[in-house]
Amino acid sequence: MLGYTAHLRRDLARWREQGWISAEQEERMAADAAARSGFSAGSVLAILGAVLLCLAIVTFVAANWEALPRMVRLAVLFGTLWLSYAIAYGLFRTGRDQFGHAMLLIGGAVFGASIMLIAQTYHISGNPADAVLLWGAGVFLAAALMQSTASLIFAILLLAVWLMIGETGGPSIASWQFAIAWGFCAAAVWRQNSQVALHALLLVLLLALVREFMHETLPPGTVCLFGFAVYVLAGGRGGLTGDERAEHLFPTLATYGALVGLGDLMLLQVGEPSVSAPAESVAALAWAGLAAALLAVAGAFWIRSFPLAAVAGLAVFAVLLRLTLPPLLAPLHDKTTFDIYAGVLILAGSLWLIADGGRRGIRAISAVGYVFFMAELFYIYFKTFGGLLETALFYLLAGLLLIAMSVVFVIAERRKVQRVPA
Amino acid sequence: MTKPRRFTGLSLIIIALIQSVALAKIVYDRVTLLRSGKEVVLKLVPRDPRDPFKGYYSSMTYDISQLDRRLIAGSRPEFTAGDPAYVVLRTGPEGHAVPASLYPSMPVEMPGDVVARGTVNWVSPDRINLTYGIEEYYLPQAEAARLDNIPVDRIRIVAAAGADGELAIKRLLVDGKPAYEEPPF
Repeated sequence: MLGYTAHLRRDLARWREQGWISAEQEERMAADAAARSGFSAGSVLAILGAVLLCLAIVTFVAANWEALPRMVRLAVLFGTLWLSYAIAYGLFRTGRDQFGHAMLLIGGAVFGASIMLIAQTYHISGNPADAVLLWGAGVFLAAALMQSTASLIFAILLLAVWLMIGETGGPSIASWQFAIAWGFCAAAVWRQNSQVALHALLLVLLLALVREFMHETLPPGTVCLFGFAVYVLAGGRGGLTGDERAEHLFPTLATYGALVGLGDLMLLQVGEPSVSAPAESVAALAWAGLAAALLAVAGAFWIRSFPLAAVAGLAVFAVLLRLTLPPLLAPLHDKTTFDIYAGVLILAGSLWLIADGGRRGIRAISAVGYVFFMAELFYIYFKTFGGLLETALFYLLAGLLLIAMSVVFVIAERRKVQRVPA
Repeated sequence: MTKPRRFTGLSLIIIALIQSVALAKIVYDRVTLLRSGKEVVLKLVPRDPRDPFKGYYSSMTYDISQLDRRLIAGSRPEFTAGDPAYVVLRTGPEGHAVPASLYPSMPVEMPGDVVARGTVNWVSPDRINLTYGIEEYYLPQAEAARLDNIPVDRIRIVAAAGADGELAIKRLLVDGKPAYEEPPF
């Protein structure tokens, strides 16, 4: 948001020099953008202060307060919990909302500390994941009822802790359990329409995907197809949806879809063992492809950014994909063939992202494209197709192709600029 | 950040209430177990770690934590990590509980027996390792260190066992005398 205001200021200055707007208009526009950017040093500091207090509360637990009898300890815990929410009430009542949300965050920390302290008081060792889940549920309740972004992010972080604790000791969290909890958080993110919470939510999803990779539970390629589906689903032009939330959140969703789609392909290419996929996993992949394509079609239709004919075409494509994918994938057991297929897909995909991101004005998508383009070139450089001579030939052809494409783009952009009235 | 609308007070009361009920439920279950459960005396082996959330504690390994697989009753069902396991305990000649048999589900209790419910941690060809949820005894740091210097054979844990086999630590005994008295509240 800060980046946006700074960028806008530069643009406004240029427009004033062009004589399109007056100095007064420039000031008013800049002030309006700054006021709407949602950034307030006060609220950020209040939340950071609350985070420090939360840390103090949790470390206090570790200090063992042996001197107090159990009854007093319990009274202190319950008292602190109610006091936190009473203070939050006072702050919301008097319109100090930022501090109210900070206090809500502290209440969530007190709740977590209480769970740990009661376990300590009664020597309950139990499964730590259960304690974290209960804590997260309590914080989520506060976030949902009070529409608090800070608390929601806190709950999402606890979701990540819950997922990871299962990996370090005790039974692993089942994917469906995680999916349910994540779904609740996703609904809250949508309702609260928060970019930061969406980033946290999607990062936790990435963490879960990495976990699935470690467990080797996903047929190779599934994630890639779903990433692609999410990209198409979220990639509809915001203006056409007429939904303010979709306009606000979908670009971020599309960026992550692109990241996951190409990231999965790249991982498949670099991680050799998953290539020797058995026939069932190829079939599973085909089903996943069908599901992903249908999801994309449904999304495209829902967003209404594609004409009906295109949607029908996509649906036919999805069915064809299901029918043709297994025979197409059969020769990919050979690593070199797979490398060529994946390489072409990644390069083409990243070029598409660079162009598409530029066309829609979503820089993050272009950035994802650039990163994967570079990464794939590096990979090819180190792999070398057969020998150095072939690699050199590949670079020569790829370079010429890109320059030819850039010429096309430049001509198209010139035409566009000429159409803008001076 | 979105603004909370109407019902601010009510929402906050609901939050505080539900969170309090969740906490009270943990306390209530524990207190009921401590008050009404059957007592068993357990023999153990302590160590000394630290939990980032919960502070210092003595880590307890009981002699019923690792069992001979021959104790598995009946048709020798297979146990895998994460499964529940029910251990029938009988008071031995030295005054502490000795495992008699192991079941995959709650067995019918004989008079004088206590059933403890554990979770299978790992299984080897001849041993089966269980946790009972009473493996941590929380103490101030200095106390935890002192406890760890006391030879293991002199320490016993008195646990309460509920009707479903859940165990809760009731007292810690050194040479048969309570070292820390802990009323439920």
